[in-house]
Amino acid sequence: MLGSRIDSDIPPKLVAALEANVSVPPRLRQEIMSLSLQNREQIENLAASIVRHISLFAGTENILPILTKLDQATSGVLSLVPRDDKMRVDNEASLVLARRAAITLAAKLGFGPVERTKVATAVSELARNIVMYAKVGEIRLSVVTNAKIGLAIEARDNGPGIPDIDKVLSGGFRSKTGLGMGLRGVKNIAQEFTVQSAPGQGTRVRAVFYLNMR
Amino acid sequence: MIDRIPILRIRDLLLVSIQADLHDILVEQLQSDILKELERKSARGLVLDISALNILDTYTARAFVHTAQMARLMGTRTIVSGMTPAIAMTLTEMGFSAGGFETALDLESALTALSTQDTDEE
Repeated sequence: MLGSRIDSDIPPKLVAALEANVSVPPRLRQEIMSLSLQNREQIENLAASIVRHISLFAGTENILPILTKLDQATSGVLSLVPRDDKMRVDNEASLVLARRAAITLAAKLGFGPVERTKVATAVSELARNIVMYAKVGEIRLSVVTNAKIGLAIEARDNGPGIPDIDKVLSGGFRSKTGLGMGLRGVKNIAQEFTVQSAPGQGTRVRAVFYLNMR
Repeated sequence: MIDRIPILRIRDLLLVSIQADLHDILVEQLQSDILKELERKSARGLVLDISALNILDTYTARAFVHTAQMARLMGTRTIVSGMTPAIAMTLTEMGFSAGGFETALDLESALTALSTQDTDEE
């Protein structure tokens, strides 16, 4: 009972807070008012709609400031502001968790289904390389806000490192296990890609995916 | 997290509907379960339905290629059905060649393809 009463309070507060910053068209208002707080997927989709709406009508640079105000107005129940995430990767289960975290963050940023899949696949490839070659490492997901909004994936480990990284990336080297394929694949689907690696010095990969606003 | 994906047998077809978030151990387990089932009793076709998946990375995709190759050596034709557009785009852009396994838009098309093969041969 108490839970549902708190819930029913949230949508009108959210509409009011959003309206203080940008105009709210009827369809978005309706989407907010029909929000069920138990439905995570619905919250993620709504978060995506809000991000798109703000970026179109208030500009990309205002996304995070406005989301912060929305979270304040709704006591942080929806946690609309995307948070950076750092995860230890050392086994299968952590690989799956990292992938899910990537999908959630991408959804919050307003990425569509194809972009979400690309981001999660990239995380999967990088996390797998860590588990297979370095045994342990970390994946960091963070939000990039310059001219465009984006999601950055950073993978770090202190494993054996890759001897000839250029050869791996150019496709001149094919491992039985598929390290090259995974790294090249991530390079192909990311908008920015850098890798630093040398024998004995571990590996650092950074891949950035930008939100395509059309 | 589940540790096994069930394999259904319908007459001489094996049907595997992958609903779980796939991880490597699960994929390896599935591969060996399929081969064991084929050894137990031969099957004309194998359908891997992945319509519930929203991620398929190159490791898993390659595992499917290997599964299809092994199944072929044991006299079974493999079809991967239900790949979402997002996965198809991602794999293609990553440079993964999907030539290693046959695909069908959905489960029904996969079953139709395998039963057409029946009538062709009869």
